[in-house]
Amino acid sequence: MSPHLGASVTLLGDDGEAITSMVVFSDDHQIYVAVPGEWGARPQPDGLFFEVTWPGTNGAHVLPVVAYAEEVAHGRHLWRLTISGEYRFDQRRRYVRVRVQTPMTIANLVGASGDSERATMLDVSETSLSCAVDDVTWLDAPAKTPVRVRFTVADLQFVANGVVLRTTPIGSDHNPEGARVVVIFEHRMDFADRLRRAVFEEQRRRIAEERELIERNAPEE
Amino acid sequence: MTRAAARAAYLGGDFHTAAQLVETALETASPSEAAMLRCDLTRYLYLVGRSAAAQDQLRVAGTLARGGRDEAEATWLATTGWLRLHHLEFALAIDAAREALELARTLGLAEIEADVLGQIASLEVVQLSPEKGLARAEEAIAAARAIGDLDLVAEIYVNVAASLETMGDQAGATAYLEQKLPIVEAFPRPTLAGTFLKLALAQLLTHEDRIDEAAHIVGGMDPRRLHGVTRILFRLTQAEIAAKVGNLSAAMLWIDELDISGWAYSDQWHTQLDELLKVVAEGFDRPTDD
Repeated sequence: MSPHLGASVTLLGDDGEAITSMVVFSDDHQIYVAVPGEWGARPQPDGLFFEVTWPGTNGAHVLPVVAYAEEVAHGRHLWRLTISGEYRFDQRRRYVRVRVQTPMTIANLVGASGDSERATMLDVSETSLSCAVDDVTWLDAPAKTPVRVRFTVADLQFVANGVVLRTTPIGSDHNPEGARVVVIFEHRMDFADRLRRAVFEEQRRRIAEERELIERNAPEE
Repeated sequence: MTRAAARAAYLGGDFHTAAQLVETALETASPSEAAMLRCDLTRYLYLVGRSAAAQDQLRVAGTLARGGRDEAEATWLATTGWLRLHHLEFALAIDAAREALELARTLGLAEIEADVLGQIASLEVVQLSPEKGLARAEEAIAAARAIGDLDLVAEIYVNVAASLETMGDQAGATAYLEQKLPIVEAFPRPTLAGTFLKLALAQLLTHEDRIDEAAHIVGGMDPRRLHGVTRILFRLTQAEIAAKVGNLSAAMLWIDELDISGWAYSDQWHTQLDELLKVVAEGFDRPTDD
């Protein structure tokens, strides 16, 4: 994972200084950026550690790098950023979202029928869920379409009214196999409290499972 | 150069990169360089939870360095003391550290001298008395300051506090770090151990239910500048604070961002996480203000 050509990036130094630059080339191992104007007359870097960050949806991409100045043509320099650590994505979420794969139902409350359709819940937080439905007509549901959902988290059943935040096709854009629907729940304190507890139980189960998996796969020393 | 780059990665909290850099350098190192590189690798491997591999490296370094009466042997002795200390093998640790100190002084190796004085201070807190250990710590800090190694100064503070905690004197550990915090904050540049000190203090304050003070410390830190262990400690502390004040959504979010496997401290962090999960679960039985 690296920023695309022309992307504006921020380089965070060990001393906390943040300087901006622009990507002129990148591959899996290195990123070339323009010499940051804010660097001024300081000596060009030769092995300085930075974190290069660039914005993403709901968060920021972060990549540890080591910077070297490199002359590319007749006194013109670029900075070569060699990737020196693991990529990460810093979330900007407000609530924990747990991934699940459980059956649920969703009903579009616009129009006469309001019939419930089967769906598969993909993830859930105390304020929203996303689910997969086979019926591609959901792709036509505009934002704020009122819906009713029934689902189970940590063995507890929930029924909630909400609105569609967005829908996206599953499979190809031109010939989708279904739709992913994100639903925001109508705010009800008691509902949110109950759901938060269920999400926590799910989170706790997942932590226990992950730890068991890590312990099982740990190399014996 | 590579040794320095690895040390820079270590001081940034990125122990995995530090270990990788040293492993790469070992491929082309001369025997005399190899002994010291393997000593560095011993520390980095231990810190990423690969204790047996660390001991293997130390053993090989010993075969290269033992008896040389030179910097390589002093480094090996200091590393032996360090690893024994981290394994809580205090008697063995102090023997190695004292031998390292003697050799470092003979050879005039000020960095190793300061390092092992710090180790001896931690060990004396546990083995002799807190007063003697704290007095020794001042000697170690003076030695570290004399060579301008602020990272080591802060590291000594943290290790001495950890020894006080090991002895069950949590209040003493808290008071010691509170006393040292302004000194670290006055450093001309941030240090890994200084960050570690702040987080260790925030943890102690949280455990003593001095939540406002703990929140003040972590609230003043920029998470984007934290790496590796310090990032984990930051998130763990934030989660504990959130759980204690009943902000369960925030606690869950911090917990979700914890990735605590693959470090020397993983077992300790898992224990803390279990306790934290209990606190959050209990929080659901109380009225919350979030």
